[in-house]
Amino acid sequence: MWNPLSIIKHLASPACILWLGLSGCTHTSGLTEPSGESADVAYTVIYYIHADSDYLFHDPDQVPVRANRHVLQSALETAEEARSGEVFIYYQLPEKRILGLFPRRNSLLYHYVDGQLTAQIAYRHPDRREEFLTTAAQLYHHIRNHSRNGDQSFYFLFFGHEIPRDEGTNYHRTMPGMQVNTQTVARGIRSFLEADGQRFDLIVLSTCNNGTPEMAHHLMPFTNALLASPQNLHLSHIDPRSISMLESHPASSSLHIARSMANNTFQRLSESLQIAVTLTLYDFEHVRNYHDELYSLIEANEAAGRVKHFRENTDCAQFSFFNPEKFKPGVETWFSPARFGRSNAVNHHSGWGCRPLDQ
Amino acid sequence: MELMSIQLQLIFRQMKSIHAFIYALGLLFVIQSAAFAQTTDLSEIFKKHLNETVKEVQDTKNATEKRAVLDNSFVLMIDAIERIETRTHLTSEEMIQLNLFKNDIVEKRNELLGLDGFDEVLDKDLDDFSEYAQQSFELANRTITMGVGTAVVILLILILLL
Repeated sequence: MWNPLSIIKHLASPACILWLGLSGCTHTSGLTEPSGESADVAYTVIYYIHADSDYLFHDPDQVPVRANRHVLQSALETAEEARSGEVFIYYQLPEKRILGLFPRRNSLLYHYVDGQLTAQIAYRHPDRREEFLTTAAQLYHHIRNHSRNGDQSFYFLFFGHEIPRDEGTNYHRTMPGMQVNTQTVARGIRSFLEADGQRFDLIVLSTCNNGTPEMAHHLMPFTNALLASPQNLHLSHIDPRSISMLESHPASSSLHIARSMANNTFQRLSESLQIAVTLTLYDFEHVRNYHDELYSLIEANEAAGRVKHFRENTDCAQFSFFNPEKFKPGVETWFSPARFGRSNAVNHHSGWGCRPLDQ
Repeated sequence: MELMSIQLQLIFRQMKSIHAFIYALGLLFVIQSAAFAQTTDLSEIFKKHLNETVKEVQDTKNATEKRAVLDNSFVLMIDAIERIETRTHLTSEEMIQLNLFKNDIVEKRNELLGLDGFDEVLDKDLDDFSEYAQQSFELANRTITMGVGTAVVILLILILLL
């Protein structure tokens, strides 16, 4: 005979299994469609926080920290303070599938206008081999609140692991086929611009080993300045809070803001770390005067030797072709050596990172 | 009344099939989640191991013991990597990355013990040196990536050793 209790009993255990599995799903709030009204904003900041990899580090008290969550928190705080700006925060989480079959919209985009959260969008990458940043740029163009004009400043801040020079598969753990390298990242960032001739005021790459002539070559056509590390950078990342100067000191130039970011980050890292800290600000207005020559020399140097892959960059000044005085204008470097290791006696860095070669 | 009872029994049988189906889906989900967790936790195992090492070094008073804790930790990691290299099938790229990782640990051990041209780390600097070793592996550089099958084997080796 049919008994409701029996049915409940039979359904309870499989439902528990499903609930346990699904309870790991990230909750995402509903889509808020753009209002269509155009806001008058003084600046736009885009944060791209990569979280589809291992970002665990331990703070000086040995407390485990997830670098991606740490940066997200800072980005959200600065977005709320952006009373006259528009802020996009992309938080790219691992792609997951329900029951291994149905793709979930796991990554998040937070959109702020004038300090107010206007949309929180859960998204996924429909094509796991798409060109890097394609989906992110499409979302940006879909929801941005205004048309850009020449008076608005534009910032792009990238937080992730080292962007490899070539190939770059396996950058995303859950989308290993998507190629992330110097060229695809440069094209991806450029796709946020609305027309040829538009430029970013500043691009920040909070990654290891990307302060290089190669990266400068690819970004210089569409940004005025770059803040990056030519060598290794600790996972606690570049501190983005100085972006709030766009509110507190609206007359500040992008170089001034980048310098403040570098100062704060350098002070924190050099006080708390035993490893080397290297940050460089590249002002492309000056760098472009000699960059073609530098880039050609780097290419010739690498063609003549055998590049050591997966290694930390070396200071370009270690190579005989490098003229430190000639390649110095527009380059501002913050450097403190490691307390241990073979390079602990080095006390200067040219600001340019080069790939090491086999002798 | 009897007809209703038969209908309910049919429904009940169907529910048993649904029951089995839901179980299967649930298990599938749990398995795929576990496989994903294994790949993500791979490099974190080394970091957690070093975190334990640093805490132990800082809690130890005697310099000789501090040095021994660090040395044992490095030796364990080197041993784990050598087992991974011999017991798993790695691609050439995976092999290069793992070798560089091992060389980095060997270099730290050499510095700790004053081998291969290094001056031995001073007793008073051992706490800082343990942090230096830890921070050298917590960088925004390229991560070691492995195929899922290889990662599962590696994970087992690391869990057994570290």
